[in-house]
Amino acid sequence: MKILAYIIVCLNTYSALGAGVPGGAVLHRAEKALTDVIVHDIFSPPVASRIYLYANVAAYETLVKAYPGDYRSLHGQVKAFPDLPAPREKIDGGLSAVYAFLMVGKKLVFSEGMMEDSLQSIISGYRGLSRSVYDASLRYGKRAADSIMAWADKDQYKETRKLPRYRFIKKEGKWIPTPPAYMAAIEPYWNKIRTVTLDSCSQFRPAGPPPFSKDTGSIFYRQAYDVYVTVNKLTQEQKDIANFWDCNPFAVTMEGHLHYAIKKISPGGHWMSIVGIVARQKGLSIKESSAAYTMASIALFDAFIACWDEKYRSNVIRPETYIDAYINEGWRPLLQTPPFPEYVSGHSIISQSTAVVLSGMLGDQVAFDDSTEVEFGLPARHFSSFLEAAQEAAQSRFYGGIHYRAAIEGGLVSGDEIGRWVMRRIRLKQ
Amino acid sequence: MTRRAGVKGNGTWSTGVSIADVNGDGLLDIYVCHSGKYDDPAKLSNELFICQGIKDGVPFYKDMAAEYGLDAPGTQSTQAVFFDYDKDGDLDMFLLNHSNHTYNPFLNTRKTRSTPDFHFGNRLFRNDRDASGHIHFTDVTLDAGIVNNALNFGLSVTVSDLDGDGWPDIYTTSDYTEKDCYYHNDHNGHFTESLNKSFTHISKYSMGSDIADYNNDGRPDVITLDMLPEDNHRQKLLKGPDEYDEYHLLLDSGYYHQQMRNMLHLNEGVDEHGDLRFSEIGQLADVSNTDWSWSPLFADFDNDGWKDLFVSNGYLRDFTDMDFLKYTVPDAKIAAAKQGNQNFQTYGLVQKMPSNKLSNYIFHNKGDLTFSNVTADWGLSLPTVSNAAAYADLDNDGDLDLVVCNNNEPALVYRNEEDKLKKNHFLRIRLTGEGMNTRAYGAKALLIMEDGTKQYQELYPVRGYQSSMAPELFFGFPSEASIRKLTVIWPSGKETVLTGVQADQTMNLSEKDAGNATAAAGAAGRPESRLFTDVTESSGLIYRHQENDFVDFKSEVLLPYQLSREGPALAKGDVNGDGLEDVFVGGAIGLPGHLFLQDKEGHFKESVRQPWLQDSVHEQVNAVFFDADKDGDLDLYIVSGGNEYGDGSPEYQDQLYINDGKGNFTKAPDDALPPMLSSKLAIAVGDFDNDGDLDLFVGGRGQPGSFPLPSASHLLRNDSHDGVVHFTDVTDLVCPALRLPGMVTSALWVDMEKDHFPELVLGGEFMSVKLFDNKNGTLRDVTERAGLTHLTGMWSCIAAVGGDDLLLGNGGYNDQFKASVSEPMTVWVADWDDNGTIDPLFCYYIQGKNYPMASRDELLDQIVPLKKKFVHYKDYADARLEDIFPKSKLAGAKVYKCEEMASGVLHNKGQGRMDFTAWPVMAQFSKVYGAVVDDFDGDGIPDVLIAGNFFPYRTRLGRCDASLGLLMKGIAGGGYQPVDPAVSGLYIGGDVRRLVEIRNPSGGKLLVVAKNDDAVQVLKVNAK
Repeated sequence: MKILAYIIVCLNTYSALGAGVPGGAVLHRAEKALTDVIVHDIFSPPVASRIYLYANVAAYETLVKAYPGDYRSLHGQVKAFPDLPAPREKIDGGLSAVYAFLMVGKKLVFSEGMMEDSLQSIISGYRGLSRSVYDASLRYGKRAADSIMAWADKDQYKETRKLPRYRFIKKEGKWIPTPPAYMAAIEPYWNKIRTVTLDSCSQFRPAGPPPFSKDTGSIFYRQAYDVYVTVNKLTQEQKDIANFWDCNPFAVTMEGHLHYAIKKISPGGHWMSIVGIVARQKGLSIKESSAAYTMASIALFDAFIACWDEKYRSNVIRPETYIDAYINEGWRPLLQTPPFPEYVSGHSIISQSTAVVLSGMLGDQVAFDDSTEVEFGLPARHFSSFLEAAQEAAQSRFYGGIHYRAAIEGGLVSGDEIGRWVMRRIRLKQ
Repeated sequence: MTRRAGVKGNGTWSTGVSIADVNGDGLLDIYVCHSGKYDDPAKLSNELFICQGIKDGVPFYKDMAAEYGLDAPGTQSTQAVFFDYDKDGDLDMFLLNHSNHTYNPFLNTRKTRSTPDFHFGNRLFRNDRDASGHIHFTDVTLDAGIVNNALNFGLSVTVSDLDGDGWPDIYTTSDYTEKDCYYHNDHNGHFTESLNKSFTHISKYSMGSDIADYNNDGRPDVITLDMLPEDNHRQKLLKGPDEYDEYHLLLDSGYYHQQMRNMLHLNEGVDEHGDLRFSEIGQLADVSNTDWSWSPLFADFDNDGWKDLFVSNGYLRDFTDMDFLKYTVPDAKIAAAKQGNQNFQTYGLVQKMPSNKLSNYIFHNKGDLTFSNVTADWGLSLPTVSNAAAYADLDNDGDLDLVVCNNNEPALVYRNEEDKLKKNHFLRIRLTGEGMNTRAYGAKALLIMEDGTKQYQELYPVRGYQSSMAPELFFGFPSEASIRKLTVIWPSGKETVLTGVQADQTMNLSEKDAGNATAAAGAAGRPESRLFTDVTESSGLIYRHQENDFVDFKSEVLLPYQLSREGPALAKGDVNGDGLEDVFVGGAIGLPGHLFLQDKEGHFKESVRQPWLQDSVHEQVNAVFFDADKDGDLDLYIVSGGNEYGDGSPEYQDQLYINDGKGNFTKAPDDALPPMLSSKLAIAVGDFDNDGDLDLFVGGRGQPGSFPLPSASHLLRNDSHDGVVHFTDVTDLVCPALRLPGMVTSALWVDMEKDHFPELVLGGEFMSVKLFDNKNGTLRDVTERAGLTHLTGMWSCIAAVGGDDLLLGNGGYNDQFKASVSEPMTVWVADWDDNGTIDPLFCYYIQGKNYPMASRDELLDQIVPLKKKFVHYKDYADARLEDIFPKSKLAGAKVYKCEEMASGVLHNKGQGRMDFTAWPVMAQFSKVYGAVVDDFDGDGIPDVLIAGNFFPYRTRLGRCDASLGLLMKGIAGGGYQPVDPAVSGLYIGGDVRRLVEIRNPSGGKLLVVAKNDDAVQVLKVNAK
C-alpha cells in the first residue's frame, strides 16, 4: 500500500489536473531555473531573449506533438521552422517538454553544470514513471531540443561573434561608453539576427530621435534638461518605479579598489516571469502556459532585434554623457546607464510588444501582483493589466535618468506595432 | 616613552609622520598627519609636536600645530614633507591629502579639477617669520601653482632637486584615476606642474614613491609603486576585458598614459628645450611586478656602493579579483535575498575573506641598471600585510636596518647582518645647517671614489610611504674601495669639499665651515658642448605624420600590438642633381607624404610638385630613392603596407615614381611593377644578378587580419631597358623560399663574399634572422648553416656597419615578456573553435611556466566556446595551453617563436657562420628602429647611434617608450660605450620609426628622425 501511495504521489507530482494535460508547475520551475543561470552568467538583454525563445519553442513544439489537438505548431507559420515528427512511443509529454526546454537552455548558457543540476532536480519528479516511458520521454525531448538547436544554429548568432568589435564614433552627439566601467558596446550587430516574424529588422523602424544639438533652445537640449531636472527631484514612488524596472544584468559599483557587481534579471526575463505569475494565477495547463511563454518570447525576441537595429543606426548619446558635458558635470543618473546607445529604449519597445501579445492571448484586463523583483530586494507592484505594466516599464527609464522621452515614446509605438504583427503572423491556438 | 614625551596624540587615526626641526632650535620636531571618517574638522587636524627639550634622556613635546598654522583642520592627510622651497633658510611644508571618497573615472571633470578643495587637495605652506621671530605658516597653495582639487588621492610626496638647478622640486602620487604631479620649482615661489613634458607614462594606482640616484650617474631617479602581481595566477584573477576604449577616453580627458605596474623613471637629464626627461625602465630593471605595493625605499643595504630597493606590499582582504566582482558578491547578495535578507552588506563579505599575506620584496642593485630579487637570500620572505617602512642604522654597526609596519600584526624590525657577512665600508654624514634649517634638509652629497665611480644623495628624510628616514646621509662602498672626494652642497649653495675621508665613521659637518660654491660639482652639470643640437624649427623640414584611427584590436581581438602603425616612410637622396640630399617622408592612408628639397643653406623646402598626393589610399610604410631606369637619376619607390585593407586589396600595390633628372616625378605606368597585393614593409635595393641594374627585394609583413601569418614577399628583377621601367617578380623562379620567409620588417643586400653577387639578410617578427647566399644570381636559404636558426626575435631593423658585421634592431628588454632559447615567447595559431578563422595565442613564461597572455575575458571574447569552460576567473588562473585546448588541437597548431629580444651586432665569422652579441643594457630600453654608423664625436672612431620606440602595444602593456635615442661611442680596439644623453645632447623620444643621416652643403651632417603620428625631428651633428 505504501509503495502504491508513493508511486501515485510521484506520478502526481506535476499533475495539477489529474489525467490528460498536466499543469504548468514543472514548466514554471524550469523557466525559473533557466532565469537563475542566465542571471548568474550575465547575459545581455538581447542574448537572454534568444535563450528564452529557443528554450520555450522547444518545450512548446514538444507539447503540441505530445498532446495533439488544440494547439498548432510553429512549422508553416515561421520561415524555415522544422517539422518535429510526432512521438512514436508512449511518452509523458510534460517530461519531454521540460527536458527539451532544459536541454536547449543548457546548450545556450555558460554554466552547464548549474543547468544540469537544475535539470536533474526537475526531472527527478518524474521518477514514478515506468522505465520505458521515462526513457522514451527523454529521448523525444532530446529530439525536439536537437531539432530546435539546428534551427537556431542558422540565426546568424555564430557569425556575429566573428565580426570586428565595436568602435564608437568620435563625433558630437554620438554614443560613447559611460561610467563607471566604460563597458564596450553590447551586441552592435544584433540587427543581423534572423527574426521570427518580422520581414526585416527595420520593418517597424521608429520615427527617429530629435536632431542632436547643444543649443539650449533645441528640442534635444530641452529633453536632456527634462531628464536632469526630473532626476534631481524624484519622488519616492518614481524612484521605486525606476528601481523596479532597472533589470540591469550587470551593474558595477566601484568604491575605491573595491569593485563589485550587482546582477539582476534582464527586462526579457522580467516579462517571462510575469507570464509565469499570470499563468499560475489562472491555473493554466502546461500547454496553455507554454503557448503564453512562447508567444511572449517571440515578441521579445523580434522587438530586441528591431530595437538594437535602431540603437546602432541612430547611435544617440546617453543623457548621462550629454548632461555631464553640457549641463552639469557632476550629475549622475539614478540607475546605471547600460552599455549601448540610447534611442529607442529597450524596455519600452520590448515591454509594449510583449504586453500586446499577452493581452491578446490572456486578456487585456488581467490584473496581477508582479513579485518578480522580490528576490532582488524590491517589493511587488500591482498592475491592472499587461499594458499598464508596459507603460510603467517604459516610463521607468525616464525616471532612472537613462533615456530621453523620445526614446520611450518611439519605443512604445514600435513595440505596439511589433506586438500586433506577431499576433497576426502567428496563431497558436486552433 | 610615548606618554612621557607627550606625543600620545589626539587619538584619531594617524597616517604619515614627518620629522624635522621646524622651529630651528636644533631639536627635532614631529609632525603627525591624521585622516579617517570624522565629521568634526577638529578631529581631522594634524599635530605638530615641537620639542621643548630633553629631560633625563627623554625628549618632551608640545602640540603647537594650531599656533604655527599647520593644523589644517578638516583635511584628510597622508603625509607632510618639510623642505625649503624658497631658499630663504627656513623649512616650508607640503601637505599631501586625499579625498574622502574615491572618484570613479569620469570624463567631464573640468570643473571639479579646477575647483580648489582645501580638505582633499594638496597644500603648500610657506614658513613666514615675523620681525620678532615668531613662526607662522601661510597657505600659498594656489599662488604657488599647486594643483588642488577634490579628485586628489595623494599617497606619497617626495622632494628632490630633480633637474639639478639648485631648487627643490616635488613629485606627488595619486591613486585612482587622477594623475601624479611633477612640480618644477620656478625659483620665484612658484611651481610649474610638468608631468606630461617629462614623464612618458605613470603608474595607474600610484602608491608610495622614492627619489634617489640608483644608477650612480649623479641624477635622482623616481620610482612609484602600483598593484601588478608577479605571478600568473594573481595576474589572471585581476585581469578583466581589454580596456582600449576606456583608456583612450580617459586619455582624451587629460588623465594621461597610465598603466598598472611599478614605474622606475630613470633621470636622463635636461634636454635643450629645458625639459627634464625620464626613461621608464621598471620592466627592464625587473622591479615592475610586486603585487599591491606601498613603500619603495632605495638604500644601499649591502654596502656595495649601489642603492638596493626594498618594497613593502600586501592587502588585508583580496577583493580586487574579478571573481569577487562578478560572482562572489552578486551571487551572495542574491542568495541572501532568497532567504529574505534584504540588507546584504558587501562589507560583511569582505570581512569574512581570508587575509592573503605576501612576502615583501628586496632587490639587489646589480649596477647595470637592473636588479635581482634577493628576498629569500636576504631573509625577508616572511609573508605579511606590510605598508609603511623606514631604514636606519638602529644598532650603529655601519649598515642599514629596516622597520616595517604590518596590518594586524606587530611591526617587524630587521637587523642588517651586512657587518658580519660582507664587511664592506660605510660613511655616515650628519649635517648642521646655518639658520633655521638646522639639519640642512635639501643638502646634497656627492661621493667620488678612487676608481672614479660616484654616489649622490640628497637629504630629504620623507620617502616611501607615510614614513620618515633618519635625518642623515648613509653611504656604503665595497671593502676594496676608498674615497677620493666628498662634496657637500649645502642648501644655500655653499660647498664643503673634503679629501682623505676615512671609511667607517660618522662625520658631523657644519655649514658654517663651508666654502663658496664652485662650478656645478653636483648632480647634472650641463656640459658646454653637446654633440647634437635640435634644429627642427629652423630646418624647414616641418612635417607631422598623421595616423588614421584604424584600431587593429577591434578586428583581431587577441593581437598583442597593432600592425597598422608602421609609417612614416623616410627616404633620402639627391633628386635634383644639385649635390644636396633631399628627403621624402611618407604618410598614412588619406594623408600621403611629402618631398622636401634641401637648399644651399642646408634648409628644406617642400617640393612644388607632390604627385603622390593623388595616391592617398596607400599606407606609405617605407620608401627608397634609387635609379630604377638606369638614367642616372634617383627614382622613388614607395612600399604600401598596414593592416587596414583586406589581403589582396589593390591598395597594397607599391608605387614607383620616375625622376626626370630635375626632381620632378611622374608615376610609372601600371605595368612597371608586377602586382604585389600583400601588405609589405621592408625594402632592399641591390643588384642580385650582377647585370648592372638595381633589383629589389620587398618584404611582406603580416597578412591583414591574420596575425601572425606572413604576407607575401617579392623579389623583383630589374628588367628595364631603353628607358622603359619594368620589374619582374622572379621570387618563385629564383628562390621560392623568399615568397613567405616570415613577417619581414627589414632587409639588406650585403656582398659578404665579395663576388658582386650580394647576399640577402632578412629580419622580422617571430622569425629568425635569415640569410640567403647568392651564387651567380641564385639565392639559397642558408640560415641554418649560418647558425641563425635560434636567432628568432622581434627584429626591426638591419644596418651595415662596415667589416661584414650587421647591426640588428630588436624589441628590447623593457617589456612584461622576456625571451630566451629555453623560455621563448611564442604565438600559437590554429582554428581553435572550428569557426573558420584562426586565432593567435601569444604566450610567454612567467616564473618558469608558459602561459597565454590573454586575460580570461579577452580569450573568451574571441574563442567563444571557452565561455562554458572558464565561467570563473579562478578556473583560468593557472591555465596553460594544454589545460585550455585538447592535445590534437595543440599538435596541429603552428607555433611562431621569439627567443631573443636584444638589439645588437651580428658578426660575420667567416665560412658562412654568423654570431650575435647583444648591446649593453642601455641599448635595450625599447624597440630599435634605426641605426646609423658615423664618427659622431669627431675622434676618428666610428660610433653607432640608435633610436626607436613602439607605442602601439595593447593598452594593458602600454607604450614601449623609454628610448630617447642612444649614442654608443666606438672605442679603440673594438666595442662601444653608451654615452650619457646629458653629455651627448641626444634626446630622440616619441614613436620613432626611421632615422637617416643627411649631409648638408658645408659638409655638416643632419639626423632626420621620422616618428609615427608625430612631427619629424631634425638634429644637427655638431662634431666635424
